[in-house]
Order: sequence, then structure tokens, then C-alpha cells
Amino acid sequence: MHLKTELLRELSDLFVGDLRASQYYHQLSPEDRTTLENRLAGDAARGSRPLVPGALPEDIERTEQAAHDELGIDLPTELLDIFAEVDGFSENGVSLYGTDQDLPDEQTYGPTIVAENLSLWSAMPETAEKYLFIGDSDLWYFAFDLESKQFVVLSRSTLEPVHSFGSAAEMINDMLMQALRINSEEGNASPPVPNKTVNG
Amino acid sequence: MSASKNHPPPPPRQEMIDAVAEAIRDFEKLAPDPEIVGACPQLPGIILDRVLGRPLDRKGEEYQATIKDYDKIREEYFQALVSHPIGRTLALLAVGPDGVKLMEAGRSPSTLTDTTAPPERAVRGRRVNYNCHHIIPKSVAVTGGRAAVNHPSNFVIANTTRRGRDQSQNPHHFWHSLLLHPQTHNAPNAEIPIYVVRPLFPFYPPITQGFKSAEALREHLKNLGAPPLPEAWENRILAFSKTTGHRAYSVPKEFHEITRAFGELYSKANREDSANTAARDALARKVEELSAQWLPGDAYINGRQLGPDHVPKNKLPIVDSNLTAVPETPVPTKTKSNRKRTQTRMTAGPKVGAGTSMKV
Repeated sequence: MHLKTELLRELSDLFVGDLRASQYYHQLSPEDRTTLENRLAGDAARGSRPLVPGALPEDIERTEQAAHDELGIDLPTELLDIFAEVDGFSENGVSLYGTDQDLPDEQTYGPTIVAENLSLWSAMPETAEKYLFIGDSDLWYFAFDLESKQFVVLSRSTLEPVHSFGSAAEMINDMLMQALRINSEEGNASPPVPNKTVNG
Repeated sequence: MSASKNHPPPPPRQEMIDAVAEAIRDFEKLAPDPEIVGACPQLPGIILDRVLGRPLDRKGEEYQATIKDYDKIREEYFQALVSHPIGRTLALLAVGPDGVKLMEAGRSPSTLTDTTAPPERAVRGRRVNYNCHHIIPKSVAVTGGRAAVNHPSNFVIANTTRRGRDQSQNPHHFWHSLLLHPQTHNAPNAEIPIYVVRPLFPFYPPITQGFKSAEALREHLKNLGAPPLPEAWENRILAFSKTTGHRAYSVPKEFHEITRAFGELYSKANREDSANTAARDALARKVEELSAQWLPGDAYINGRQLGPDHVPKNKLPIVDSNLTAVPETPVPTKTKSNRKRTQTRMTAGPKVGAGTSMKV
């Protein structure tokens, strides 16, 4: 299963549409608006999806090292490959955590994977070193089970696994569909997770 | 992507419009005295609502159905909330015109604030994001069942913006980690009191800037093309603004510590299994101690009741809202056959105990 780039394209189109309809955009000076449009066109010409770019190699390396140093884990290779395609997103209540860039917090683009896991592991110590949290929504946590090496969906209110996925790409495709409000009821073949609970 | 829903959705059903109207009335009943908004300055506009519930069987039909129903009504709720005159004005104050536009389209609100990026990097947007959350958790069974849990009276649209390690704009994480998770984690499989965090506004925080007077608030609304709010809501907004020092709300700094604690405890020196287990246990105790500073004696934390002698350090107003009863206007499950109905009105059942009692 590969990451469905057409979903990323659709998310990019949505974000660009939102940008052009936003108060922020309309309050830019004509020069700033032109500069922004030129930069978006330049990003697209370089093969990057406007407003939904992949991470730079140095950001992925830094995040890999930070996960090792601060969380004591190695990030799954599959996830690192996905970061190269999409460095996180937040849409319609669904967030995929991005790489931890070398930026002050106020300039960070959204939730980042090492920071979010430090925060969630602190707040819910029973999940520490059991799950690597990869994203969330108002209903779910999207995670990597560090023991079984499976990509799983946890109920946000119970922390119990409710679905597993065959790959990171399959899970992130599902997150993208939720973000884009694409009905996946018919096509969701995620197997239920066997009886397993988070031990306190 | 033929299945994409990024086209105008059908308008909300009349049942959802009625349910939102009921929710707004419930908000008004919850705190007739605006002073309650500032009763606990660390958590302005927040009360603890004591509900009696038991943890649902997570594999049981009721829990699964609650989740499925919520997923189906979420976008309709957004639409209905901004179609309500008070809901729309409160939305404009909390999430701005861009957020309102997204809600009209059935999407979670967000506001783009910046797109600057150094030349070597691709352009990205920095946004303020909001999520819809249940006040009484979906995993708790209450008297009103799914009708009460998946009702607009039980929803809050909360800021969930995170920028790296900065959780100051993520009050929902704060409520969940400090007050809710410790009560439901390891909870006994019996009916127990659970103190849920109930904001006094359908959006939290309710404002993005301070207002020192009713005139300033009205002027701001006029600029947004919105009518003035009823006096009771005006007073509530002004009380919130006063409590936050007429500045935008941030989660208090001292509570950010909880989000960094693991990093501090889980240092390289603590990597050995035994040390690591001890660090995790220490952290769990730290979270429990902090939670106990807010919760009364009959609350459970990590499966243990605090006890009759327990006196919380911080005084959050406590209510028995009775919003766990069957709502006057329950939202029927959205099915293919009723999805597009907008006019048929559902027969309203009798309201079971709408009264609210409050203790501070």
C-alpha cells in the first residue's frame, strides 16, 4: 500500500482555496499577495504540493535523532518515508504530526511528533513506550504499537485499539480521507484489533 | 476523488437546528450569574459538572453506535450552530469569519494566521485549529444514553492549536490530561461520580481578544457584521475578558509542566528498565497529585476515590447540570433516508429535569 498522492493533491487544492478565501490573504498588500502566489507556483514547479510540502531531509534526520534521544525509540522507516512526502497536516479536526524542525515554537507549523509524544506520554503515562502517537482527531489517536509493530487506531476516550492497518501509508490514507470527508465506510477493510488493552 | 465531500453539503435537518437551539438555552441556564465565569481564574468560564456514569463496554453496541452516530452528525452540527443567531455571533467572536465559513461548509473551524517561510523552504500555513469534543466522554454511559452524549448540549468546539512544544493554545489537552483522563483511567466498572469539564460557552476560548466594555464588544460585532448579543451573553463574555485581563486566553504556564514532565523524568540516566519504570510511576503520581488539587472527595483518580476528608486546593464551581437526561430535542441518527430532510420536525419528548443546581 502506497500513500495516495491524489489525496495529498486534493488536500493541497483545498488549502490553497482556503488561503485565497481567507481574511489573511485579502489583508495582504498586492505586492505581498503576488510574492506569495509566485512562491506557491515555484513550490509546485519544484514538485512540491503547495501548502502541503514534504519535510526537508535535515528535518527528518533531526527528528529521528530527537526521537532517539528524548523518547528512546527509533522512528519506523515507513514513517520517515512518509515525512518526505507530507510533513504533517491539520484539517477538519484530523492532525498528522510533522517533523520537529529547528524553529522557535511560535514559528512551528503545527503539532510535531516528538513534542506531541512527550506531551501525551506525560499526560497518560500508561501509554509511554507502548505507543508512538502519529496523529489524532476528535475521535481517535493514530499510533504505532511499539511492541507489535502495527499501525493502530486508538479510541481517544478509552485508549483502546479499535483498528489496525497493514502499513503506515494505509493509515495515513485513512486519515487523509477523514480530513477530506471522503466516505470510507464501504472501502475500509481495516481488521479489528484483537482483545488488548493499555495497562495502567 | 469522486467521493470527496468538498462541495456544499445539504442544509442541516430541522431536528439538528432545534437541538442546537436547546443547547444554547442549556448554556444560558447553566450560569445565570456571569460572576461564575471568573470564579476560578486559572480556568475561566469552566465549571465541573458532576455526572453519574459507568464506563461503557468498549466493544459493546452502545459505545460503537455512539461513535458512528457522532461521526454522521458532526458536520451538520457545525452548520446548525452557525445558522443559530446567537451561535453564529459567538462563532464570529471565537473563530472569526474564516472559521464561520468553514463551519457553514460542515468543516471544523480554523483561521490562517501566517504563511511566511524562509526562501529555502516551501510555503506552509500557520493556522489556529479547533476541534469538536464531547463534554461527557463517549465512553461513559449516562441516563440519557446516546441521545444525551451525542447532543449539541454535550459538545464544545475548543482550540487545539499546537506549535511544537507549546501547548498554551490547547485547553482541551489541559482539561483532558489534568481532570478527565485521571478519572476515567482504571475507573471501577460501576456507576461512579465523574466531574466533567463543562465550558460555559459553545466555543472555548470564547474570544480571541479582550473587551473592556459592552460598547467595545458591540463595536467589534458591528465590524464583523453581527448583531449585538443578548445582555446575558454580553455579560458572560465581558466576565471572561475581565478574568483573562482583557487578553487572549492561554493555558496557565504552570500547567505546561505536566506536558514536559516525561521528557525531564525520562532522561538518558533513566533508560534502564527499573529506573524507567520508577520514572513512569513517579510521573503518574505527579499527575494524580495535581488532579487531586481540583477534584472533590467523591471523585475517583486512577481507580481510587479521594475520600471524604479530601479538600481540593482550587475551587472550581461545581454543578449538577442534569444534562445527562434525555434531551428535549434528541438528534435522530442520520440515515440515507432522512439525510436530506430539512423541514420535518421531530415530536419533542418531555424534558426530564432541566433544573440546574450550582455549588461553588
